[in-house]
Amino acid sequence: MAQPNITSNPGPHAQVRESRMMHLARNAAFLAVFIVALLLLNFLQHKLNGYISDLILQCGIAIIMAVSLNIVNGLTGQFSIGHAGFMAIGAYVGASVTYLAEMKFSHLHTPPDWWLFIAMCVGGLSAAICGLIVGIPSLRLRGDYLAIVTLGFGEIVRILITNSASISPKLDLLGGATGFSGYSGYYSVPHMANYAFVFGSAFVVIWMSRNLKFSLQGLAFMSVREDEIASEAMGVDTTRTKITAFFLSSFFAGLGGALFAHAEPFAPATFSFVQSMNYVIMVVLGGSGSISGATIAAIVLTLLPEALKPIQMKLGLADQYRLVLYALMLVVMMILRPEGVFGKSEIRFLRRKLAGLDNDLSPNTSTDHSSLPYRTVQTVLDVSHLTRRFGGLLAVNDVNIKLEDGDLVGLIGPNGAGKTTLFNLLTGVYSPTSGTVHFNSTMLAGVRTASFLRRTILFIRDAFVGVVTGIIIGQIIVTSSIPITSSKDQIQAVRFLVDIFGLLGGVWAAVYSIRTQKNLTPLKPHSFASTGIARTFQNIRLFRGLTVLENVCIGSYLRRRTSVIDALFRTPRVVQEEYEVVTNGRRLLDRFNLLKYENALASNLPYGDQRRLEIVRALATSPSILLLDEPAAGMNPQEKTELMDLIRQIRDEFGLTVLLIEHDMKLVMGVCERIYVLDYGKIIAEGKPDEIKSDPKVIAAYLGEENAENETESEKLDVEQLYHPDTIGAVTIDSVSSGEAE
Amino acid sequence: MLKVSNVNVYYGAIHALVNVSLEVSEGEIVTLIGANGAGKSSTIRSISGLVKPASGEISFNGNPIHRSSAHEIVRLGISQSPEGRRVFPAMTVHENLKLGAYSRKCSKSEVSNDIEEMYHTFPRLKEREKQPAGTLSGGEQQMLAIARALMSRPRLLMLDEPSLGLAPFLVQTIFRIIKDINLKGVTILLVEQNANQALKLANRGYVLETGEVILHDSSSELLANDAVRKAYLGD
Amino acid sequence: MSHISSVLASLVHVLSHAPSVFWRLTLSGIELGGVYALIAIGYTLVYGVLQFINFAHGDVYMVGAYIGFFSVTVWFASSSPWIQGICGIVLSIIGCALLGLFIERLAYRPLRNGLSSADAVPWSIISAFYVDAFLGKYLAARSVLPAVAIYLIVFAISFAVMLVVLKKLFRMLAPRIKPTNDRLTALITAIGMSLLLENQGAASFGVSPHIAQVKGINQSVAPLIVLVASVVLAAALVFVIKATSIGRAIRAVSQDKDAAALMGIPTDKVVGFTFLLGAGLAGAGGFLNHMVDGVQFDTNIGITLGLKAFIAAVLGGIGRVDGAIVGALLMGLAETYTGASIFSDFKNAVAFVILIAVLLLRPSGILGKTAQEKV
Repeated sequence: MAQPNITSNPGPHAQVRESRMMHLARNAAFLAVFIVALLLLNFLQHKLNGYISDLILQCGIAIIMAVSLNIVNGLTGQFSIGHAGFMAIGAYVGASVTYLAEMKFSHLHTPPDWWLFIAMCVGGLSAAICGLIVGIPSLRLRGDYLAIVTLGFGEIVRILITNSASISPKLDLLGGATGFSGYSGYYSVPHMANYAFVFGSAFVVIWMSRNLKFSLQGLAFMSVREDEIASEAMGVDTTRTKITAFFLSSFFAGLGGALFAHAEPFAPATFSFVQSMNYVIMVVLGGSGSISGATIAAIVLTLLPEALKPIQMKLGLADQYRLVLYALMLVVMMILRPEGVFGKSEIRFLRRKLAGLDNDLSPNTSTDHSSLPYRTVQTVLDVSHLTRRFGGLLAVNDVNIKLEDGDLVGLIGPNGAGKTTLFNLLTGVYSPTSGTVHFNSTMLAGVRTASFLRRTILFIRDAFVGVVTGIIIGQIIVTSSIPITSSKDQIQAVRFLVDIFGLLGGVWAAVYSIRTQKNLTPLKPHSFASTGIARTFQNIRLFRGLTVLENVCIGSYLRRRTSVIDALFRTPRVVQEEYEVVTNGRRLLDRFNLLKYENALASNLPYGDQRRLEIVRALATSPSILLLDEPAAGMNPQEKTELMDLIRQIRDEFGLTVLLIEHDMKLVMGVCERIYVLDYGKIIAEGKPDEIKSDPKVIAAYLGEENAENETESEKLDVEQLYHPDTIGAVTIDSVSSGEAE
Repeated sequence: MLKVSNVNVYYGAIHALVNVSLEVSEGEIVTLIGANGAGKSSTIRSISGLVKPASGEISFNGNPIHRSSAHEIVRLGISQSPEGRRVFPAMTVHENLKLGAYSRKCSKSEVSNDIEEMYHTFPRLKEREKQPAGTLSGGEQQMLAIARALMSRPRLLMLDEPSLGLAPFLVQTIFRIIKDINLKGVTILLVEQNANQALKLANRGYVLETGEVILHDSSSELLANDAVRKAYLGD
Repeated sequence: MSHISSVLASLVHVLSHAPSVFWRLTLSGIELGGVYALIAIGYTLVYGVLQFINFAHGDVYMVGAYIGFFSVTVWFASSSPWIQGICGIVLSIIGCALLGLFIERLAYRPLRNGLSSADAVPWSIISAFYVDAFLGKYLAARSVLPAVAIYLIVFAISFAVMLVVLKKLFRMLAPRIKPTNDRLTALITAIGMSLLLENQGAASFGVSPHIAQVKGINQSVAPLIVLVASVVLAAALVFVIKATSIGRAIRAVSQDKDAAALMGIPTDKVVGFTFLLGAGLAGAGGFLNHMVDGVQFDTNIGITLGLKAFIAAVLGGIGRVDGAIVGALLMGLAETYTGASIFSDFKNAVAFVILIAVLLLRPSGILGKTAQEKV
């Protein structure tokens, strides 16, 4: 190991302060140019012919939709295929706002332009709220299931709007299947969305996505895409992150919808499943995660069918051949370039370097830990009677472990003894069947009973849902099965039946509620991480698609001071924080000799370095306890010796407590001060390395010495039952015709 | 019988096997030992055709097989009991065994005879005949995996960590079974982390480290080798 | 007092009349469920072996309906009802099964395994098809030879030429193209195939709705025929999956692809066969629903009905054949009851509402099992 060469760079604050002034000045200038550009665009719009002008407008809206979908599907790696549903909500709410403004405030004249701005905001917000309503319950679903729920949502929105009049006469203004037509039935939404509005919005959406993508918050989003489990382990609340992404994405979609409503004629059928798919295609074809890709794909895919039109007309073909060709091109594209045109990268114009990346870490020998994660608080991890059952298998059985400040403890045992399961219990990936994990007397894992208030609220909620569901199902069954009749008594009888259904539903839901809501849901891994438990994984789980530096920077997410809102606007605080995070991350990398790789993708590192990077990434969360799962796997002896030094240094320099799973005896015996031996989910021995080495039980279970004499009678019997020694190979003997070997 | 020469395997940018060469002769038990991540499984998987080597050659009885797909290799007489057993959890023990004979072109009665033989060898499997394989215990699943691999009547049986997660007495049973299979004429390539036992059983051994064969010798020599004892035998 | 008694009296009256209506609805619900099941099984089978949503499956169903339509109204127009019915359904099944296999070979296999020169065959077929559609049509209109002969000659020549060219091209491209497991990419490819089928369908058959029925079928027996036929077909499928060697192979591939390959199972062929089976059933569904039951259809039917069948598969627990059947029946019933109730306007939304409700309570569907990722 090289001497630690960590420096505090002189005057980063001065630099940042200076850049803040620059920042303001530049932004002001930029805003001015932006406004002038928009006015010019509007001027241009009037010079173009109707068809072309309309196409360009459509491109702008498609850009908003594709870039906003990219936040969920590309950046966060989720799978939403109901984007048109959010667009529809934005469109209808936006149109209603303009309509009501026209009716109430502008005396039946088209309202002034700024009303469109209000319509966009209200439309966006409504869509975002719907995004939350759909997202919160369904984002715990994985992959394809989430996709199906979003698809279902999109379809439900469309069907509800089509039949809006039969929900409530007040909703008559939506106009049903024919499109928005006001209460009179003759209203058409004014085409207020001009170039300035559309391209201004598109620009803002792109700008904000870019700000998000290249920020600490954005890194958290992308870590969810790369590996959810590792992301949780780094302290990212993946559910919250996904919901935030969903919220933002649907907000922008609603905004796009409101613009669309003021630019093009529309009806519920406009926002069909096919439309949602179009946006998904734009994102994937451009390259999931690439803002440039989504933008360019949006433009190309909007123009392409139109561009094919003259060819198709010249050849005298049916209109559908255009789409046939489009479909074929899509399939060919996917086969030839599955990652999309741009992959995850951006065109130069949209790329951004992390602040502080070029900062010179001048080699200074003075050791300064102030900026490195370093804990001095007392640490006690107390594991008692921890048990985890998988079906019939007791993977971890009544385990008691105590770790104290500065311990360097090993956990050994044969493959399959339950070591990794124990780690998963200690980090919240699994929750225990029974037993507890306490960290500094806070209970992290174990049965936590819900408070009475919480249970009451949940009870009322469930009973309410039950009654409503019961009544709806009752209505359906009763009204479908009963001959249509107008008699008052009969209607009352029907109501009575429905009430019974409602009651039954309520009772069922209440019982369900009482049975299931007693215990709180277990804490998730990110809560474990935020209390100071960091880990590495047996099968390396780096964020493979992110750079080495980005991997480490995510460690700082736990200590972030900026919110998503800050990130969207890239406030000076974000820049300042980014500068610190990057500098910190680079110092850590430098400390472990990984700085040379800082801009390489994590997946491109040699195996041993990936292992070390995982340790560094865990350290970046400033943990109190570090859990290492087979850190030496795949390393050569040279690297292993270095690793031993490294582990000791980590403990000494950073004041950590380390718990280590390892197979390499030399490493465990050499580095650990205390060792636990796990076999069959049970701790069978505990002690100093020398004691463990000579413990007969350990030798029998782990070191693999002959131990036939230890077999009990019953075990022997078991063996006899399992295996009949005389007949083995009887099947195969005649098949080996050559048999020349023996 | 089996000849692996200068095989290189990459997973993305990771160089998992570096110029691995090894040889197995008819009737032998050969073992590959090494730490987790040393490339043992990758070696076996490239022989089975599950991983395609970037360069190098693998031949079986003189026929090159490194370009063949996995199901063709099984037909040639190489069978593998994969790491972690990989029985089909939702299928019954009986169905698992039937699938083991999928590659054989023979009558149904022949297959069911063989299955009966397996039941005779592993009476516990007979008891669990109709049970989904996922509900078996670890040891039973390992028996099933070996029995299933034998159902294709292989000439070379490759076992990937058959002792994984098993109690010591069961490990010994499994090793005895392996010995018996070998005595009946099946060549065996055994991958083990339990180096001690594996070397006691095998004729020869190869030691893998970070994707390279660093040592190969007869088992007795390896057992006596200081470096090996230090690294793998816990001394 | 008299008020309550009169309410009770009408309650009795209503309840005594309700059952007949209720049973009739239930029967037609099961019938609709049967059709959904025939389509849903295809989704679930493919999902089982490849873990991806084959969106083109609904369009295969649509093609099945059109094959049935031409069988009934053109090819066997003058035959007896029995011949019409049996030949129609057999042709629909065979045509769709081949189409399903073709889609797999054309788009999904190169995506999954990377491009190889063997992929030139399906691409040559589709190229030859389009050469026929344009050049063949042009020549046929100006030639003395019968049109069929012209089409065949043009097809053969262009197929041969394309095969040679594409083989060379694909061999050249192959090293540069990496296979992918990305779900979104697979989904987009499937959507591409779906768009292709739908629009080619519209180009070939027109966009206006079609309606036809096998001769001599009336509305009272049609539901029974559909019901019986779908039960028989679903049972046959279950038999194939549960009791035959190829069925075992399909299950093995869907449980563990690598282990299946180690058993000597040719996984790619098994995947192809899975497409064949699923698509064949969808073809049967198309014939039964449209040619027997006489439901009106157009080229969009693939998306609308396919989507619902897919949702039925998810509802039951995707990847499981029994799940698909249970989900399909549930959906058929729910849709029928809703359609007859005061919520009839929302008949088409009910599928999605049930889906969301079920997934929130049981995230893997009714019969699905949750799998925890190994860490």
